[in-house]
Amino acid sequence: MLEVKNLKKCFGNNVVLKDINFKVNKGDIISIVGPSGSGKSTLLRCINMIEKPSGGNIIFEEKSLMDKNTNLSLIREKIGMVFQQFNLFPHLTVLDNITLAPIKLKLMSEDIAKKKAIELLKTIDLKDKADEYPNSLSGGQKQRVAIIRTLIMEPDIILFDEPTSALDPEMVGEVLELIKKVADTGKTMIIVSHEMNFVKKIANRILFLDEGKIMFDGKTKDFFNSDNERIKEFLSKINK
Amino acid sequence: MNTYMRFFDKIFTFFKSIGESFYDSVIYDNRYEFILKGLFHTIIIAFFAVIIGIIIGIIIALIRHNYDTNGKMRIGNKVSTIYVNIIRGTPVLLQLMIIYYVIFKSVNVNIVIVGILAFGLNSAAYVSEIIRSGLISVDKGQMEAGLALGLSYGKVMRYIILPQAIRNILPALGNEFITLLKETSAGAYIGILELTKASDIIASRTYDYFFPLIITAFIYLIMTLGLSKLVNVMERRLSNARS
Repeated sequence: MLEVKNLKKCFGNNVVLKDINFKVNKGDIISIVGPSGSGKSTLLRCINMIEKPSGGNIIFEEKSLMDKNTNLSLIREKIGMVFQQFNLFPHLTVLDNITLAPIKLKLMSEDIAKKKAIELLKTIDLKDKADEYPNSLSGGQKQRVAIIRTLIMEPDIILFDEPTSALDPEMVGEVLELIKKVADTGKTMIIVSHEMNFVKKIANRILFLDEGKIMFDGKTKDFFNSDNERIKEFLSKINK
Repeated sequence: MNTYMRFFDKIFTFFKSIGESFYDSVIYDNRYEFILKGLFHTIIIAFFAVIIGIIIGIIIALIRHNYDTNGKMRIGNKVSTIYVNIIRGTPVLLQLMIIYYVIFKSVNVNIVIVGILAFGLNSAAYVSEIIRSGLISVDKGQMEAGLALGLSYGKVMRYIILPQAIRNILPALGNEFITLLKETSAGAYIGILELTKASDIIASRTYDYFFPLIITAFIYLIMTLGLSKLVNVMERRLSNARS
């Protein structure tokens, strides 16, 4: 469903991604791991063109995102994204945060969007926070609302950009639990994460990124049992 | 006459002269009508100038912000920058005179409309800079989150960025509008019968400046205090959504 071809990204003279190639199939749960500064987040942000690639191509459902004639907004409706800093809209209530996009994009009527949002909020036990503003939520609650905001769009694929990195340790669990729940519905996902135990449990495929290149692309099991020196070094540092 | 009586007589004459002065300045010959008419024109000019200022200000701010963040609209950005620099770099009185004596020289146009246009165009430059600072103050992640949900750049601006930007700049905007309200007094120079001109007309008939000037000052004060009160109320209403 998604193909990344010869993707390059530079910031000025700093080359962050060099020649990235991979394919995502429906139902894949891919985790992108690697040392910090290896370009994981940049790669993820290039997939929905929040970051403009310097070269190469991204093909989603047979449409090239680098093509000037492609309507990016229509494609982004189908590619959900969850951010490290949540990025909830602070001037809107929790309910309005969730329903803004489906209503303004005329995908749902206001009534149906609200009903659906409430249903989704029920699944994360935050129904009574519907009329509150994001600033009254804890970090974990904010991130779970952000995930719901993505889910209501019924995307074909969801990108998670370090969804638990900005959370207090005691709130990581509730967010990972929700991501797991979404994964169990068969949703295609790409997750950038440092939570190795979680990655091991949830991902069926690992992309190991190092110095802007994919060093490993394969099954999760093979990654954690790899003989490659760089991977071993990386895993031993993480487990310390 | 003893000293007591002389004293009361003095006080009496004093109050009598104040009363006469007030009567001459305000009531005689229906002179208060000048003040009412002046007040009306001041409010009309300020109100429509604010609207022009906001509309053009938002457009300029969006053009410049779009150029700063996406590199689009290069020419629009150039034109806007030159416009803002010219307006901010010359006195408003001069701009008013240029519009009236040069641009509308041979056209018969209502002088109040000239005032609205001049003060509106002037305010737009300042408002655009205030709004631009508001746009910059909104976290970059807000635009990214909006785009990622499939909203267009315009929709993200309208529903996500601008509401937050305006909330952040409300005090500065209020300040600008208060300044604008007072600045309309420059319109007297090209002969607009606004509040300051009204007091000047009355004083030139009575040769007594006290009441016309004090009353006018009082009216300006009431209007500006009311405006800042209004801004405070709006600020409080919006503050519940602060992050």
